Amino acid sequence: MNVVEFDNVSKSYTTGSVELPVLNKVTFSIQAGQFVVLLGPSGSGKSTLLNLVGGLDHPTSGSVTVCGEKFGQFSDNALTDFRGAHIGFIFQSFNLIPVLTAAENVEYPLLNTDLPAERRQRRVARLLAAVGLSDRAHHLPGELSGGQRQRVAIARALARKPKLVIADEPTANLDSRTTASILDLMRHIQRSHGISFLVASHDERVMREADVTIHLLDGHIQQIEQTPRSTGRSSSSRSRSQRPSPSPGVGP
Amino acid sequence: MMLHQVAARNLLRNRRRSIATALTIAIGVTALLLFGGFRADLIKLMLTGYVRTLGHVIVQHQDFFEYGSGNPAQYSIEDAMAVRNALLAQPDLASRIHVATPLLMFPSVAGHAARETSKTVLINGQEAEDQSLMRTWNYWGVRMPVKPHPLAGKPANSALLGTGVARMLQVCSALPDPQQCGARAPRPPVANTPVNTDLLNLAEDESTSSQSAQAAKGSQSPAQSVPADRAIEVLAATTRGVPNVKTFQVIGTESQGFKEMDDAYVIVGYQAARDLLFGRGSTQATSIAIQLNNPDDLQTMVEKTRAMLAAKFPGAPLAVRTVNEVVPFIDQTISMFNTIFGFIATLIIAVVMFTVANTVSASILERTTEIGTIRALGLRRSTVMQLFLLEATMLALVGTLVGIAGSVVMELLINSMQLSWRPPGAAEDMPLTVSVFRELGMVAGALVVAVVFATLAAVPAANKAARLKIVDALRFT
Repeated sequence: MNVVEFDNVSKSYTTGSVELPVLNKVTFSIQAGQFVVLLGPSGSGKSTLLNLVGGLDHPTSGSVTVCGEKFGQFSDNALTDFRGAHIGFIFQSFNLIPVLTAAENVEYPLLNTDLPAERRQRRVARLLAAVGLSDRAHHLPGELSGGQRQRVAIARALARKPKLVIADEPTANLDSRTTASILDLMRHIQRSHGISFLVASHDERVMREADVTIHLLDGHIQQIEQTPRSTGRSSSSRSRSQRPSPSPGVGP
Repeated sequence: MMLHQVAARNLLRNRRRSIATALTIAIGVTALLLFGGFRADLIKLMLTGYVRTLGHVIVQHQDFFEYGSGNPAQYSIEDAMAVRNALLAQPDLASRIHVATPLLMFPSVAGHAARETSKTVLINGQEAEDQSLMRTWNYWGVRMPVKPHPLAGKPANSALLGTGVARMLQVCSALPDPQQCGARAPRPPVANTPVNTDLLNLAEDESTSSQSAQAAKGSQSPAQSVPADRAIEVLAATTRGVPNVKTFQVIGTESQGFKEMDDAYVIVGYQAARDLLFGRGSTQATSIAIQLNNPDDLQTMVEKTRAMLAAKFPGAPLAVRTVNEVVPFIDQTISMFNTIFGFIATLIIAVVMFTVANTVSASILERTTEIGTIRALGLRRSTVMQLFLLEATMLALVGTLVGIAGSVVMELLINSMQLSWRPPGAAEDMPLTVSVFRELGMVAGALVVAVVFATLAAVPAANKAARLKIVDALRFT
């Protein structure tokens, strides 16, 4: 089953009278449970693509389907609810709420749910234990290290049991040792919970963890590549403009 | 964790700004409540002053209010004592009445023969004992001294003058306290002007006849022989157009607050005034003043009195009015203070709204990335808006509660200082007091208004925050 489907998606921004294309007729899909890494230089359109997958922005043309739902049909509230229920976010700068403790940050996405307080607390405790921060539950973000903050952010991303987690440069602000542990954690969660990860990164170490890598350049998909450590369900592919061959796992 | 807890934590994020905003609200609320408390006390003082003289409800000839001052004899109550007795005989009325007393007011001419001075005056005939009882009324517990009526226990021909009348008739120097007439001593009479012996003889004759009449009636306060330097002769036209003269002994002066009243007012006993205008044996009066035990009974009393008069005095041209109708100055003063209060409240609300809007806007600017984050995490626009409105509401609530506490502290401080002042139209200094704590309606109103307007002030900024584009908010630095 495909978690993400991009069909001929273009996105451009207008500055004054100048239209600046950022993504150009991008077509690809991501299968459930895959760890997909999005590679490309600055300005290649990685963040824009992530925003479109996350329902944070709307394409200029084409259709975006996530978990079987086409975003184009959603109202803002429906899209927000869908995002909350199915997509988790991990940010480069962690984006934790500084006045809330680690546990409260993880609980924050659950505020809009019908979960009773007791169940929310139990879930938060489980998630913090899963990221190894049970003993830091009542610490404010300012009292945590960079790695610990990113672990809290990962736990928060998982709070509503999403099918897809989007991570934008999750290790860019971390040292190499912490990067390794965060990657291990994400990989572990992805495998144990069957959650799809879409990670934008420049980092070679992140790329090495990928089941699939998507290479972006100037708004085009240059290459979709299944890495050797993946199970072989996917094959390399190119953007539709280059007529790549279809594949069962990732492809146009 | 709930949204209001998040809001409360956010307020603590920039404590200095939150405290400054809350203090601005608190100072505004304190100022408003203190003025409101001062206004409330002042209105109670003023009402108490009028009610102590005129009562709450006044029964008059139906045309007295419009035409009575031109011809009070014609527009008086024919049998005032019967009306008063009927009021006191009806249990549901009597139980509400503290005092019911006749008043007789008419224009006249007063002369002081010893100084050859005269003055047109307004005679106000009052039952001194009833008036003394009326002066004890203090339903709201205001700090207003209770003094017996100066004519109480005095001879029946005693008179109390407005300070201006006393000055113009030049009786001040003969009074026990000449300074009552004002700071400046009255001038001596024009030199070498012979005293008009006719007038002196008239005064002495009237004095003697008055004394004899009182003695014949066995009065407990018989008229005494009147020394010429304190004797005034009052000339009135009786109902039949015959001039009538009566001599009174000036026992003192009483300031009426307004110069026009001070220059015209002469207070005498009701019976003496009645004898002068209607002749002996009459029971007429221009008004019956009814003072209630409880001012909240006013409308009930007006209706019941009207019903009683219609039943017991059918066809009698009587009208029942409230003290506010008879003295328009009361409502004018209340209206003026309400307008000032409204003006101050508007200014304070504007300051509160501006401060809160500014604080919320600054907070939103600082937390733009955070807004993008929580929207990405699945919080709806309405929740974002709710969050910022909650912050504004909490800020206003804290500020208002601090303001209420501050106003209560200031109330205790001001009231303990025993300050006094003289409001316009007051005959003597009044205590300067404020009642915040007793005005619970005003306090609750201030709380609601401050919170509602502070919340409304945050709506535009909160709405803008809720409508931020998520990608722009996340990119914001």
